[in-house]
Amino acid sequence: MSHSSCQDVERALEAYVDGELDASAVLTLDSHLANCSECAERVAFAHSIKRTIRVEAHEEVAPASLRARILRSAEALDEAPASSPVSPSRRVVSLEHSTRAPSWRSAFPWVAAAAVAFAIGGSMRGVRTGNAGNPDMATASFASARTQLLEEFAVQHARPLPPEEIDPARVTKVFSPIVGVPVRPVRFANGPVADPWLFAGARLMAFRDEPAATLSYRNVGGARITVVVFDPHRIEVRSACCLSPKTVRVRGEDRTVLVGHAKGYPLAVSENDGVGYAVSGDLNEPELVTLATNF
Amino acid sequence: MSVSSDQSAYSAKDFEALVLSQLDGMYAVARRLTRDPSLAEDLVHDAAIKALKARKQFEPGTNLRAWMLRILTNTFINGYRRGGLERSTMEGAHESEDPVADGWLSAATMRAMREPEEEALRPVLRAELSRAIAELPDEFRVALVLCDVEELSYKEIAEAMGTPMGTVMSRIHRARKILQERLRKHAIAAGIISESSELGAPTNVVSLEPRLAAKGGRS
Repeated sequence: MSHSSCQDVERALEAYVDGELDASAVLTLDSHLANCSECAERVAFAHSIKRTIRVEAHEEVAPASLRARILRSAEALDEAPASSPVSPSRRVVSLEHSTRAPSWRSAFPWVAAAAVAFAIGGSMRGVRTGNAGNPDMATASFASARTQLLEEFAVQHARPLPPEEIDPARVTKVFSPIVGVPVRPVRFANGPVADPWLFAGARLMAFRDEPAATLSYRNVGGARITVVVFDPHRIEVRSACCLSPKTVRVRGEDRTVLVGHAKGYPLAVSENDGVGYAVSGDLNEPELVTLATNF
Repeated sequence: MSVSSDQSAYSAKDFEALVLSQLDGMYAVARRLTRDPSLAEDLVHDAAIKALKARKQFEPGTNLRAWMLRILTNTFINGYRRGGLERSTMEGAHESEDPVADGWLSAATMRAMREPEEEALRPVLRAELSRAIAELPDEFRVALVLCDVEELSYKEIAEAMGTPMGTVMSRIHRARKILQERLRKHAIAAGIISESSELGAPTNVVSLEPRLAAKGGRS
């Protein structure tokens, strides 16, 4: 075999191993490989690396919890465009003409519908529709950029960092001036949830470069909730999409909570006396909404 | 507005099932891209949701796996990398290391590093291979993982990464050279091959050929 043939193999080896050579080039190479053990070894070695990478990678399968989490998010996605994803009965009330009617589905492209933006202004009731135009991939990623803040909230719950302060009084004293609003760990002992949530600690975090406090609570069952306390003037949830307003009557007073999903967790955002709260937790949505009205 | 306005596309439920059928492959890639199991789950989750949202953009009959890997790759490149774009500096750095990266392995060395009867590396080298992949620069790793784990074509990888095909080929090539060099060093450390059995680090193939011929005329 001539040197040039060995060099040809050297040049084409990767394309050969990756199955990118056309049939005639493969034939030429094969005939060389049949007579050149050096080149045949190079090919066999390249194959063995490629195959080892592939086999080892596929030894791991997606965990069942990931599948469940995606299904949960997909369900929320399906329901998000309707004003209340909480319970079918409520949705019938608020959107009787469009609950699950197919006509509604075909009325909006899926992507744009999922990206319908609800604004929380002072009243938290202003409703703004997202761009229902060409829902190409760019639109999808744009919508995803706008959900980023919600995801940042959810990540606080999904992957909690250790608390910086566990004394509720000190949390209020030290964190409030930094966050710019009162940060008061709530005592749930007499709250509406039978199993009381106990304050487990707090830490400061930055969202969109603005300080906020992340408060963690646990119940005896080991479930957690995470509450981000923020100044709504500094961190605007207004621009976040995929949040649906939901009104709950608490102690004779209507309270509006914005409900959505991020990273597979339900999320409720509320505002009270100029303080913003974003609550996520190991709860179903109605429970979370009830909980959020405590803030 | 009629229900059948999107006859060509899949129904939401069917599409969801299709997307979920790809989870294992997506996860295999994500694990290699992120190096962190929980980040890999986040990445697959986010990519799957994006895919579901973009259902109408998927053309039935085209390669769903490649389409989803494109979304996964984009999601990774745009949101999951630590720090900014390392491309120029990293590629520049490896460019300058050409003599090392292109270090040549003899056929005997290659033979010693793989299982004699099957197309697989010796077990003692496999962990090092995984480590070496994890430490590749992002751009090299993405290209290699798409090529080797999921066996996308160069064209599909180019589309996924938004780069020309030539760039993809060069990234895969460099990635493999880096891996080979790591494996060679590890094989020496593990006593599989001896340093002296190696021919050093020649700068190009041509200069090797006399020695190659002298090595015993196996060809």
